[in-house]
Amino acid sequence: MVIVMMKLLLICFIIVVSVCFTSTEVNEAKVNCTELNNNLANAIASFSKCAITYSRPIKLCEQCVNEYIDVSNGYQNMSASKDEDGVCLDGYIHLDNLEILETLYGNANELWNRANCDKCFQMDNGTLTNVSSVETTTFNVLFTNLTDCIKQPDVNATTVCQNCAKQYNELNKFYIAISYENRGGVCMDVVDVMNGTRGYWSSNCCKFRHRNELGFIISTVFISLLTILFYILTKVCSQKRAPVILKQTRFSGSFCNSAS
Amino acid sequence: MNSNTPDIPEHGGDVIFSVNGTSSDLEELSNGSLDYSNLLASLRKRTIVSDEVVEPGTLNVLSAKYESLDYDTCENHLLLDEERKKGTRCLIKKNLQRWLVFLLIGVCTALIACAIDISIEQLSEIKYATLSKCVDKFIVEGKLYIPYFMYVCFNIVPVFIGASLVAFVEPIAAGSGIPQVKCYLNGVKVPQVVRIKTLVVKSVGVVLSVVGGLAGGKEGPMIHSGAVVAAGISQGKSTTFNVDFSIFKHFREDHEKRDFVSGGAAAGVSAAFGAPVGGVLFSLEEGTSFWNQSLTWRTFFASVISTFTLNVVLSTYHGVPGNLNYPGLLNLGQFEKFSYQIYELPFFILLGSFGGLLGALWNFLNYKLSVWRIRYIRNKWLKVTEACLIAAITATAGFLMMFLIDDCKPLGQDPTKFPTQMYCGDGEYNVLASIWFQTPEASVRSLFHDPPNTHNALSLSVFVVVYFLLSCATFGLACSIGLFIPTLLTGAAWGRLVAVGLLQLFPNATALVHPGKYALIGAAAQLGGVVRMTISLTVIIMETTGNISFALPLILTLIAAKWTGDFFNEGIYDTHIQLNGVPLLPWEPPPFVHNVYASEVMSHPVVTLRTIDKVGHIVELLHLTTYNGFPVVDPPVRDEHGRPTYGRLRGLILRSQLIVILQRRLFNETCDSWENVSSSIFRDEYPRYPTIDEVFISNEDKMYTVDLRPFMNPSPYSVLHSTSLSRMFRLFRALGLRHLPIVNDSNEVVGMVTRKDLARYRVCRHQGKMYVDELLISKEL
Repeated sequence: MVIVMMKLLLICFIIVVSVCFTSTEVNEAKVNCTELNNNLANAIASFSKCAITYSRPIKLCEQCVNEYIDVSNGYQNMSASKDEDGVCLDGYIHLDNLEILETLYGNANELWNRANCDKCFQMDNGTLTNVSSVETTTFNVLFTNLTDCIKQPDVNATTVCQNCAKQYNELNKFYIAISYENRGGVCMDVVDVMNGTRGYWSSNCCKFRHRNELGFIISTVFISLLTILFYILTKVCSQKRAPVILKQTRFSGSFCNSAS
Repeated sequence: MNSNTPDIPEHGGDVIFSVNGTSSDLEELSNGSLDYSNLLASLRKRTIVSDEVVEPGTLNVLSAKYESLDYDTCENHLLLDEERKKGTRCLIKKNLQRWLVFLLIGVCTALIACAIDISIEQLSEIKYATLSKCVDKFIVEGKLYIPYFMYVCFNIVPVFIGASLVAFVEPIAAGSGIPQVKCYLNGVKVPQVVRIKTLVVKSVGVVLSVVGGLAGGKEGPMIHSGAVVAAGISQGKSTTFNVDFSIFKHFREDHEKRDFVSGGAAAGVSAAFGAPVGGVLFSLEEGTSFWNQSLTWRTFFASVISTFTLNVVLSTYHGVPGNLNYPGLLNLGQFEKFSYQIYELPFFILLGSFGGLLGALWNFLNYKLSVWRIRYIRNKWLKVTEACLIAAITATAGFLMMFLIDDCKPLGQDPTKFPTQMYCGDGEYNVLASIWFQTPEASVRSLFHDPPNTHNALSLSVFVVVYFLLSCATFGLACSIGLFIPTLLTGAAWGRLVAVGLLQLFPNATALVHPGKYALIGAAAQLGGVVRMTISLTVIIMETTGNISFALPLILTLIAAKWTGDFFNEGIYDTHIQLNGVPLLPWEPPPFVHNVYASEVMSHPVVTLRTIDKVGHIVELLHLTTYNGFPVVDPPVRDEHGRPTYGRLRGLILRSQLIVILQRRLFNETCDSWENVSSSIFRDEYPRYPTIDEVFISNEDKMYTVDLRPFMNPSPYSVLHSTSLSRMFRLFRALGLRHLPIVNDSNEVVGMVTRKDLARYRVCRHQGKMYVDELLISKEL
């Protein structure tokens, strides 16, 4: 009896569910999944091309932001749209263990994220835009100041350290400030520019960090000598101590003692 | 918590009282009774002190000041009465209480560990952040001596406080504490080793020493702290603060306390390394006489509770409550997966032998330095000064390395807490500064886990040499600080160096030559070469790194390190135990001693008591001798030649029991006024019994008599005079005995064997030779 009831309920449920589904499907506009897939393929291809083109010096974020937005939109379209077979994306992923689409999309995504490119641009309600963020613009302004200074005709390798120190320090300070704010990492374009600048600057100007440290060397020698002296003095100044050995009383000893 | 006047040797420890002060007493005694003439003759003989002297700091002298624990239960009439009255209910209650105590031990040990860890972390963060900033500020001005002196001061000030605490308040808290705990678990009563004062000095001292930048770690002291916590909690009272919570009264005896201490030591290891199994194996390897199934189970419980509590507290502290990722203080971090090939095993053995060689060298240098300290640095102020100087030298070495070696790496690739620029370019940091400006523990972690090429060969090799010497100089200072971390650090550094070398030789083998793997092997080899522990060390390293498949390489490395090191000298803990003259009984009796008989080993004329004896006699005996156990015998009869025979063995009574009897006036003549005499009268006084001088006995009382039979142990272990040394040794080691009366064919007491009589026979097996050494005994060591 109970089993029959259960079966009936189950059948009712299936009918309700299928009615619901068919009714929603009718409302959807017809989409062509193959077309969407081609769009995504093109987007990934142009992003890869762009990334490789701007790999050295790194300008990935600045130059490839539009391509990246295309990729991510393409993928979102595919996961949102449906044709008669179901969601478009389902026709391409989780069907085999090669996972071509997921792998290549994942690559593009990971490259973008590892470069922290999102930090270079303004976000609009959680979606990426191609407008540079305030930090990036400020950084670029400061960097242009420095390059202008270096490019001045009266500046050569020997005078650059004095003449452009102000600009360099401003840039360096700003960079330290933003890297302190963004613990997760600064946008890779900025990092790369800064690394290059610092490398240039350090190779020219860091020899000024070396100064005469005679005071320091004398004090280390003094402390080392003090320690050695301490150990020598302890030996010279201490009196000798000689613990006395206790004699054991043994069975065999008792014979000797009683005999004597 | 641990008691007893330190300078009372037990029976067989021999000859402590002087002739001069007591000769009149002796005569008085001999006038009183002719039967004692025999005894007096024997006492006189024992007053002979040989003219021989030894140089302090030798390994072959035992100190007379160490006694044994009373691990053997005294089955006297009072105990039988108690068992009959209380029945099974009491037994069940006692067992439940045991579990409760082990739970508390685990929790408290972990909480102390957390307190130590958090204080160290906070204080060193302040210290190193300030230093790192100052270095970069003053280096451009060319005034490097300012941060240098700051570094020196930051090292000296905490070390000064820590060392003063140790030197002036509680000298036993110096060092790692593992040798002391090992001795205690072996059955030696090390004075003051499990007192609350020791715990306080140890915990505060270790924080100050590590913050002071000394080359040491907090792991050894953690084990000692666990042991003290166990001894304290299980007693339910503190003699220092004079409070008695009237709980756990049944555990107030050496037997129970030692069991709890073994659990506490395990909980300490477990908290220190996050290695509960390693903790259990540690207390088994270092202490427990035999595999006691239920004790092991409870010990394991305490260990697991300890690591769990630590985990909960530390994860909450780090802001991720419930994310149990902090099992121990020493967190070596999970290794990314690495594999090994069979053909690497011989190479690991080679590295193990190398670690053994380095370890033996380390032990040799430290031994020489310790001897120097014993001979010349005895004054407390000198000890403090020495600790401060070593702290200054540590700062000097670190700073000179940063100054001289420009090993620069770009920022942001490796997790560096306080990147310091020194002479590097902008956006770079000095690798050596980053190693020195963090706690040694964090340095080990970065050597294990930093990606390949983080450290260059030059800075690593300089670091190995400097740290090797520094850690050698640090161990044995008057600071509570352990040697696990610096040894691991030295080993990890040269292991990484090996990996760097291998990569140069085989540039294609990057998959196999994982620097972290070689750092681990190097660390294990170095540690194995220094401490020579086997089972527990393997398991501890396995558990801290969470890598079970790497067990075989670790075991092979440790075996190679131990065998190589043992060819030259003893492990560092054993060396320090021997320097202190502690009569430690090893696992096995020495070889070639089956032909040494009890009659040669025993101390011969035995001071005995009679079953019913005069109070005056007992008091005199306690005054005159320093022995802690007296065989109780029948009054001697005379043989056919009229010579008195030895008394027939009836039982054994301890000094502490006699003192309680005298104090409570449990005399035959006063039996009407006895108040509830039960086993608990002895437990109430535990662990610090009054000395005989503190017990007032009136002249009238001295005429009374005492019947010792209800109080003595009526069936002590005793052996025939023809028993071999190795048999007695096994009896002592397995049963934790303190006194072993030696009897002749007619069960008459002819001698007494104690721990020191057996520990005197020590086997030496170095440089391919093996021989049994007979040690000397001195009371001034």
